[in-house]
Amino acid sequence: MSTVDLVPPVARCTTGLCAVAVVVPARDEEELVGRCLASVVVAVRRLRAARPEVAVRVVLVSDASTDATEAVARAVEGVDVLVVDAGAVGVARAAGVRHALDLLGDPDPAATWLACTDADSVVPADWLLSQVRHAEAGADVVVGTVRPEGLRGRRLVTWARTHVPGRPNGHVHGANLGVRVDAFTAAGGFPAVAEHEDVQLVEGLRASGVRIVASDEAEVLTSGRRIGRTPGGYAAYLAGDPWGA
Amino acid sequence: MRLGGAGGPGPLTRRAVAFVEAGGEAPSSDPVGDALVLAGRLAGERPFVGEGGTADLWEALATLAAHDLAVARTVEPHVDALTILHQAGRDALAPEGSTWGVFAAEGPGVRVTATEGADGSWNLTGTKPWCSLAGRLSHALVTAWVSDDERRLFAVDLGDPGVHPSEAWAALGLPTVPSGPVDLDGVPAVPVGDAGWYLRRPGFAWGGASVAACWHGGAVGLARTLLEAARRPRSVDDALLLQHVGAVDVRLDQARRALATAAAAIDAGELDGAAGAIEAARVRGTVSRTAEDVLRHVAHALGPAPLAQDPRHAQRVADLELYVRQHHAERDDASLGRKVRDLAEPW
Repeated sequence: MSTVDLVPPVARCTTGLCAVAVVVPARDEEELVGRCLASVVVAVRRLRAARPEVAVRVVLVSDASTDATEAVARAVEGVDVLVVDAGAVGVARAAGVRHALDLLGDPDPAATWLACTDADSVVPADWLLSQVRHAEAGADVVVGTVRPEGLRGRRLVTWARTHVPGRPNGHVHGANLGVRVDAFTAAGGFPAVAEHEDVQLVEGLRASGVRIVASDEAEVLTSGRRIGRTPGGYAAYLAGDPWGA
Repeated sequence: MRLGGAGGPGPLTRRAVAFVEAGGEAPSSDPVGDALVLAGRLAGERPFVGEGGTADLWEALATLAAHDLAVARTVEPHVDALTILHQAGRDALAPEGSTWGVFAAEGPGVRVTATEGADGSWNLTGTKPWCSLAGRLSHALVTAWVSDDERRLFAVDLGDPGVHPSEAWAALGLPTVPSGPVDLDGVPAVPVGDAGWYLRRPGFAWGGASVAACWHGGAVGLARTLLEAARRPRSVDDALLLQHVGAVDVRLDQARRALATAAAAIDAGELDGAAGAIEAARVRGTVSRTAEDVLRHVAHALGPAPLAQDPRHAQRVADLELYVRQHHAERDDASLGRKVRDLAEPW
């Protein structure tokens, strides 16, 4: 990979957003984390091409991994790796946020955006730019859509019916979530739980009255596997066949 | 990608362009899923061959093919099926968001038999070869024998427990679009048209020209790689490279003109029946030769490096080499030759 300037100085930020923190928790994701981070790097490059003044840090949090997740992530240029042993995705995400904000030099929280995805996911190239555009238009939270890979037959038909272009359903997925850091902090951040930290965060944000935008512009693909890493996460939701015939 | 003509791109082509732009420079982790979602959403745009928007449809398919042949290879049979259902007056058989294949091949030693029950319902039993994406589509149009010498077309819900697709697929090209046999065991089926209608219907041959539009797009995708190489500063006035660019341009122009002329004639109602079969065979022959020639020119011009080092280029080459084999080369030439021989004044 050619050298990319992912991290410009924060100093010149005057209007709009000045920094973006991307946080990706991972637990034993050696097979999928590489392609996830590759897609994030593409999204960072596209954001930097359109918004060269925005500083970006990408933090991969390897949580209680026993495989080569950390090594795979360290090989990706432009990604910082944080290793924790929490065994809880809420704790991992929260640690990743703190680490990313440290790396960015604690920028103005009202001008800093936090973008979250999961290590088994693949983000589209305009993922970050789309979130930043919503933020510039006044959004404090962007709830994005996801699509499981490998959907087939009736499940795909039903998925398509419940995901009409331009009418995002507003379901919360940690694999495609963006939030302004001041709103994130005021809502208490990610709760230290083993699952549903994404939904609980957005419930807190809703209660705080910030501006929440549902968007399907930059859909994230997630692995369609049936065995999840959290007890009741998206993989469990899929196994329950929510879109069954 | 445009085939010519005045005005801007049509609604299908605009959708295809938006799809390609959303994909960007990063290859998708689920190109077939992307294509199926796109296909399921095209029904509202009435993507039918022969209803005035044929050039738009072919431009859309070529645009998708230049981006990723697996996407075009997934969308093309779906729009073919929707066109067939529309011609049969059975659009209502396709639920919103459904994704379709057309399984009409015959093979040695295998056969699908349709049986009518006492209540007038039909079911299908037997093995159908060459069923692309049978494990991922929601529905298919399937030809089946209703007597010793007559076939009829049926709509089938692929979610039926009697549908058993094979996963066997060794191809290096189009690896995500497996096209294997499917075993059908008493699968409920709805007749589409009378016995023999599928082969007799106006526009049976047009679907074959839609496939050629995909080959054309695949050839353009490869040619763009050649053009990029020719535009690099260190290649300036590389005479051999420019010779290949010129030769490729001639081939692509031939294919483009063949498709544009056929699309206009189909929409003008001039290509029904035998005239349509000959014209479709000519278009397929022209575009398949273009694809083969472009593969050769690009390979000679660029050598082994992009085949070995550029995964997208290597995949494009493998995809196009396989896809263009839907043209049966000398056999299809002979079939066209027979028709031309029997014309009063072919040229």
